[in-house]
Amino acid sequence: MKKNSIISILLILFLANSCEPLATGFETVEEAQYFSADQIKPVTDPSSGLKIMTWNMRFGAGRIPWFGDACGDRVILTEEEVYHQLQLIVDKINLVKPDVLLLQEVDLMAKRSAYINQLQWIIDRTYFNYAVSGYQWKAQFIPSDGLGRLEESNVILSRWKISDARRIQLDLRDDQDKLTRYFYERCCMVSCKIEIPGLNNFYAVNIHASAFATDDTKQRHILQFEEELDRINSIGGVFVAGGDLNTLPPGSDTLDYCIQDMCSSESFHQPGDNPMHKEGSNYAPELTWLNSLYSKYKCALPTEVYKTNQYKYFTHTTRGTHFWDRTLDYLFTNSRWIDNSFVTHQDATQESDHTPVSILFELPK
Amino acid sequence: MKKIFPLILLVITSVNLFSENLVNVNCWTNGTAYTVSKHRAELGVFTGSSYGLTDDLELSTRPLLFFVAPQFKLKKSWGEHSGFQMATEHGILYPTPLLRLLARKGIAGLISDEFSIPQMIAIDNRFLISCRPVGNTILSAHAGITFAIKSGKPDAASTIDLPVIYPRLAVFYSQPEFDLGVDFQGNFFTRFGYIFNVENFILPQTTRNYFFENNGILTYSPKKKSMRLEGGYKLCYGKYPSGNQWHLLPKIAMIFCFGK
Repeated sequence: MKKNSIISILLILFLANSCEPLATGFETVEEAQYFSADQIKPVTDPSSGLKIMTWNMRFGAGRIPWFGDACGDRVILTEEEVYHQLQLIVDKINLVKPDVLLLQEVDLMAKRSAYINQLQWIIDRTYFNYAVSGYQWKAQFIPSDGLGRLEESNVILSRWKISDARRIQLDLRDDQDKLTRYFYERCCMVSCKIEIPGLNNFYAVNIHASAFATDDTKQRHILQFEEELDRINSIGGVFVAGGDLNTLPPGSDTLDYCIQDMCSSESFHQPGDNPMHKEGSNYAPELTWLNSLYSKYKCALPTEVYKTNQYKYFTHTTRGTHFWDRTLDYLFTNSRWIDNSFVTHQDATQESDHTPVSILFELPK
Repeated sequence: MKKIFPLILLVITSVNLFSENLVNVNCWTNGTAYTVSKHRAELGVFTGSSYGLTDDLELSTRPLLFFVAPQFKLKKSWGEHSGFQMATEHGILYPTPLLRLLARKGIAGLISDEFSIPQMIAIDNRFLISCRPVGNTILSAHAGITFAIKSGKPDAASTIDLPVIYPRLAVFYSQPEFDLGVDFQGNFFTRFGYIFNVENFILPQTTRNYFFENNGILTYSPKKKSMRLEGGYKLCYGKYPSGNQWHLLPKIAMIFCFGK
């Protein structure tokens, strides 16, 4: 371990003076990156509602057993695999046709996904004209597991022009050593204003909270998300906000997924196990973390609806061959959702380890 | 700007008039068509090391990587013709053990362990020519070609996409690889010198076909001249799998000289 750390430190020293830092850090708030389609497609004015969708697209890895999150042994995907998965994702988007789409885990330039700019690829093959992106992870070279270059982002796509786009840094994990933290992802939110005809104060916020933090980092991410929504609310903005919060809805029946998520070489919940719980699989301490958000704003999936049939609203599983077993993906607004328009697209079983969820936002009259 | 270059040239050439014979004093032959003299050794930390088998035959290797990526080079001097020193260099590199060591899970895994690394050997041949245009300044040029012999085809995604490393292993993924370069070195004063060189790597069989490196180095040799310190920069450009990139890296070296 010591020898490996020395190799990594030597590599840092070797590349420390290069034009680009080995792993990029960010300011608390930065301007997000703007993208647009090669050719702007015509857009009709929205009628009664806007379809909003959020989807953690797992960097085009589909259900492939990737080493980092699915007990797998795959690290670097082939170009064919990634293009195939991206096509499935694009097909689903073109079928559901959201007006505003929040995507998490979109690779812009990563060795693991064959260096394909997935955002540009999606924009060019859907009806979206504009997008903004904030880096969730930006490292020139990660000297671990053969990962190499990794640039992953959270993005907001829209038919209409986007302005005032900001990347908001979420707190870094406190439960990692400094070397790991230096190369690790930097969770973020992307917040922007969308210039929808007839709505001059419409905002969208996209978050990907920490998945594996074992301390209170994820709770702080949720609080930071809430603070951003409070800020928009306080300036009279109307927002749709959501993403992968990596925590369960209030009232969930199952709170501990350590055994379900356990890899073959692991052991949890047995006397002497250290750690007792798998990283990111025990949601029991998080039971109340979303209460404040639920009480202040309208969740697309109200607790009482969720409780009636939790299975129907599950959006995620870590196991490549299993059906969805928990809900981690959310949409909120401070305005109104159209009743009975919420859909958990559980039929999208091959595109990602998350399902997309969508709902119609009621345009204020 | 036009006035600066002649001024620099004037400073370099004038101080060279007062400096001693560069090759004989500093026994520094890397990048030139000169060879170290018989039984003389240059041992480099972080760089290559050379030994004079005869007065016109030099053997070099990289001690730090010797056990995991053995590399040998033989440089044969073909003497001076019309003021031009000529040499050929023939090398062999066997990086398989190192690459297998780096194809691992966890920290220091520069290659994913899902890839198997075949047995691979690179054979390079170079022609070098040197002259002394002004004083003891040595101007050298070289051209070379590298081929690879492999027991199988390495996976295209098993590359280490880093400057310096990528172009030197690129031949295992697309061959042949050509290299062309110039090297300019001299002394400001007896103890202080400079090296400025440019290296181009060309891989005609692939779209990631061009890499460029430029070293700018200041050197210092203490009074006993049994060692040499180098410090400077390495500027790299290349068409990597992730796109075209520039890197500016620090360069530090220590070379110890033994024998006459």
